[in-house]
Amino acid sequence: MSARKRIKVKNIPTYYRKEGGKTLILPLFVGLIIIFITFLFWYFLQNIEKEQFSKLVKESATRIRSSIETHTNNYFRTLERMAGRWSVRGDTPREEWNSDAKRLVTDFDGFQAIGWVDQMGTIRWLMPEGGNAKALNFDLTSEPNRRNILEKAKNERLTTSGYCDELVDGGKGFFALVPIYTKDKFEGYIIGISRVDKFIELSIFSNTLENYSVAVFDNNLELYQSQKVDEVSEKFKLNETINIYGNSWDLVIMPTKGTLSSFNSNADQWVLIAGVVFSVLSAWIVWLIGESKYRTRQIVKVNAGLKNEISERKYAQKSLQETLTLQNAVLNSSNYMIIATDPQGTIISFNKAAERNLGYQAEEVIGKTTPVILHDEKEIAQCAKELSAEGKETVEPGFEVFVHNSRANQVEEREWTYVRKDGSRFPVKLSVTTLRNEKGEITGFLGIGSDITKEKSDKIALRESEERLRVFVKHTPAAVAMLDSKLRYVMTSQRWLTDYHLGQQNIIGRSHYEVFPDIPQRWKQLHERGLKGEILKCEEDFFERNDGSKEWLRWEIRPWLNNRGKIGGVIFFTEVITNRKHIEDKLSHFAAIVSSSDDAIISKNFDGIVKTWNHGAEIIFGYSADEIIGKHISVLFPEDRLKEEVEFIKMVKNGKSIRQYETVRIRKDGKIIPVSLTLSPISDEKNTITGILKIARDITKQKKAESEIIRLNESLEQKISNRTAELNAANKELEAFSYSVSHDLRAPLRAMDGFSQALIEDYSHQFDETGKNYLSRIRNASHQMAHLIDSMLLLSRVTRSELTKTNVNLSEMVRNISNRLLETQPREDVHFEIEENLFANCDSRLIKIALENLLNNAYKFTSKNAVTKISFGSQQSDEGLEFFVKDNGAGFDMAYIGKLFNAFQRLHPVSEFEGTGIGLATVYRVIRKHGGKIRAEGKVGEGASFYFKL
Amino acid sequence: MNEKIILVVEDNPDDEILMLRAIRKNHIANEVIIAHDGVEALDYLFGTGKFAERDLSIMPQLIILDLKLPKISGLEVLEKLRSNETTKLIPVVVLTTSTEQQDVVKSYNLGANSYVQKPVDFNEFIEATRQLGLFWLLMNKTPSAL
Repeated sequence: MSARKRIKVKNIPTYYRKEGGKTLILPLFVGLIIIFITFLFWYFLQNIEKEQFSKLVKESATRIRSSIETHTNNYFRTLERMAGRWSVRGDTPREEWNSDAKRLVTDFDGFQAIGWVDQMGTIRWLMPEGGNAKALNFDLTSEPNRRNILEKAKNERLTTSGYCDELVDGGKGFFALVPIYTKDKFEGYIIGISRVDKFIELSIFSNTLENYSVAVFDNNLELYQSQKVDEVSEKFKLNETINIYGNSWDLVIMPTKGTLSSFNSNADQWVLIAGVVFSVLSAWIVWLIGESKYRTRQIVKVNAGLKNEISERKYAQKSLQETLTLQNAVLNSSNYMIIATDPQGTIISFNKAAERNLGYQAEEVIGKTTPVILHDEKEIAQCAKELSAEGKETVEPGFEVFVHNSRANQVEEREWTYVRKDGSRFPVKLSVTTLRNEKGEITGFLGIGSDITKEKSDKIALRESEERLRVFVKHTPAAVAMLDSKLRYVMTSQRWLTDYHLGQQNIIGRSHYEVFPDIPQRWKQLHERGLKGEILKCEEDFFERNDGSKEWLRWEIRPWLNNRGKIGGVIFFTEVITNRKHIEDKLSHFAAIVSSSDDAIISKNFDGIVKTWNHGAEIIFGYSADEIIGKHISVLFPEDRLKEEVEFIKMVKNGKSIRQYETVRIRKDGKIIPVSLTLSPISDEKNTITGILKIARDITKQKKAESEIIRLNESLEQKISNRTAELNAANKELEAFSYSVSHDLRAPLRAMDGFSQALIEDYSHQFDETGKNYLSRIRNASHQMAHLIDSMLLLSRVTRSELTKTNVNLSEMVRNISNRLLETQPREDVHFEIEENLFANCDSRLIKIALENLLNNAYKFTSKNAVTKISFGSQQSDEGLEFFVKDNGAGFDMAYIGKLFNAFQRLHPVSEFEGTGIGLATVYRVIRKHGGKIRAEGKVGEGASFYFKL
Repeated sequence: MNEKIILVVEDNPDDEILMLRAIRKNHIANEVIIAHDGVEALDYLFGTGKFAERDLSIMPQLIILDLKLPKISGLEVLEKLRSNETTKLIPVVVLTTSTEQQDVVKSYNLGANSYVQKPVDFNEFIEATRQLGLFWLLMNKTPSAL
């Protein structure tokens, strides 16, 4: 009943909101449209006015322009006429010109002055002279712009205008120049000078100046600006071009605000105001119409609602009777204990189930007591404390604790302990509802309780069993995980987390593939099969993690069934066997090494009993493994070596190793062989030494090789000393040879030269010119050969001599050599450029030979130059400091660079440049002897550069 | 001047003639004695062998000594000369073709007064002769003990 009523109440505001919305939209729409139209109209009106005003301004501008142009034309024509008179009259006397000019100045108001400018551009005559004295004899060509105007007027024979920014009395002016030609003879100019402001103000009507601001510019230079009578409107600014003789001015006019406002009609503003008022009124009327329609409809609806309500009430009264009967039946047949109280807590209803469970009869409690007697006092006190802590009010222990929440329309359901009449107890779940009448006033409370003894014990049992399972799984010493059908973790053992390095993270509920993103595809297929019911297992399997590490596993996948008998997921049992696998691999690796080794690898215990015996041992000692394992190692020992074993055992027992101990052992066939032994302790996992590992190497071959090496070394030393002796002898011989070369080869040369000279001196009268020429050729040849011998000796001496290094000042050395060159072979225009203070650690005598050769060469190969430049300096190269000698002489072809430093190789014919072909070979040897390097660069006709490093 | 003798020790006959010509060219009028090897030079200086009859009171004013000589070398001659009281102060100019450093050093160590290389160019040879002649004959006073 009350529910139906509430629906009605809700309906009304919904309806109102809907209709009310409609009544507002329409008036707003009408008002806005009218405002929009008004604005449109206002906008057009304004534009039309603006356009008309622009037109007016434009007309004024044209009028100002044309009146200035007309005035200017008149003015110029006057001057032209004056010049015309000059041409016709010829040789105008000063007096006549004066009166002419005076008349013009008086007649035409615009002139400041009229003058005659001579052919050179100087103002000679001027009218009126008074006040213009400064301008007289003024040279107009002194300023480039004016000079151009003078030139233009003269050359084009045209009247030309210009401006002068400083008139005598301070204002801005302009002038017109008329060239005077008498029968093609140029006789100067007539010049008319005006103040621009005066000129323009004369040209235009004064009322124009009241309504507009007028400005005239010549190329941005302001010539004129009218006095500002009022504020101007920049918006209507207008430009015009004024064309005057050979010049154009820019005219800028702006209407004053006064002009603008006198033009404005204000009609537009009135239109705007009227439009806005009209739109507001229209909107209001529309709204009023809508509102009255809505009210009428409202009354009709309410009337209909009232009729319905009356018939419904009648129906309800009848059904209430039926309901009460039904309620009692339900209450008493229920298994729930249902107890109702009045607002004060006195029990007014106590159903059959309550009687049964609590042991009280309904008559015993109804109207006599509150439900407090059914409860444990301590629980009530506890609950009162909790409720007080939760809310703002203090809740007293008593009936209030059951209904406190329910009274505030909160759900009240709590577990309690009921106390039976006989004092026994049982747990119940009690929910309390507040009963209210139609006005919402509390009429009582209803408590429904259910016995939850069984539920409670079931829950405890379940929790205990779950906990047992959880503990069991968690502490299972194997990696176990239970996953659901989507492979999400349900449960894992602790070992699972540690084996897969998952730490303490909570993976329950997360997908297996999310936890292990690098699971291989083939495993995913196995999981699929497991989920379909297969039981799968593998003893050894591996997978590669994303970081490249390999994990070995033994695993088993089993599906598990849920309570509906369907596959609920899978259980993984896994064991990480990576470490075991590594150990196995290592062991098999070691086994392979041991069995394939050529060395004998033997293990034995401290009693000397052989435990293992590899293939190498079989070969070296001749015993097979079967023969010797279990026997004593002493079978391998010659008698005199038996004591070695005692020593070894003592050392190894102390944890020491013996390395490469050389001794001898006996083979099975009795042959004694040299061996190298390495012995080390064998420890078990507790680091207790349990035996000896012995590696024996047959060193028969090695021994043989050693003695061979010793023998070879001895003979080698012998050979070396023999060779050294031979070499020394050869060196001695060579020295003797060069000594005799130096001495004996010179003597015949000297004889040839000397006697040729004697012939020339003593018997010259008996020789003709040819004869004398032959003799001088003999002399030249002998000189050449002497030089050759000297060079060869030098070369051989360089090769033989020992190095004595000191810190040598190369710059000073080069300076000395160059000075000597200039003294002994003087030439003109020779420039030596020598970098100062270059030092090097070298043999001063040898380096002098090298530098002499380089500088002699440079001097020699520049001998055909007009100007000689030879430089010595240093530069940083990749390999350190590098010295250089450069010249600008004959140079050489880089194609022959390979021959440059070879003895007796020359790149120039003797007829061109003298030389032995030994000089650079000597330089090369000196530098090489120092462990240095030399290189050359050159180009035919452009000089040569030699770079060396010591 | 006549008693001022120049002893030239020179085995090469060409050089001998050229030397004499050079001395003449330089207007050195001193008497020139030629010894053709080391033995002959020592014989002359100590009055032995073919110079047994020689008046030993007359000693050369200057000895021009070649190094490369048959029988006894120039250096040996120099050594003997310097170890003898009568000859140890005679100026000795070593005039030789050799430019070997060891020869120069040895010569000076053994007491040579000067070391001149024989140039191939005859004009230079004349010039060298002139200079050593002028210097040692004119400028140098022989110690009065002689």
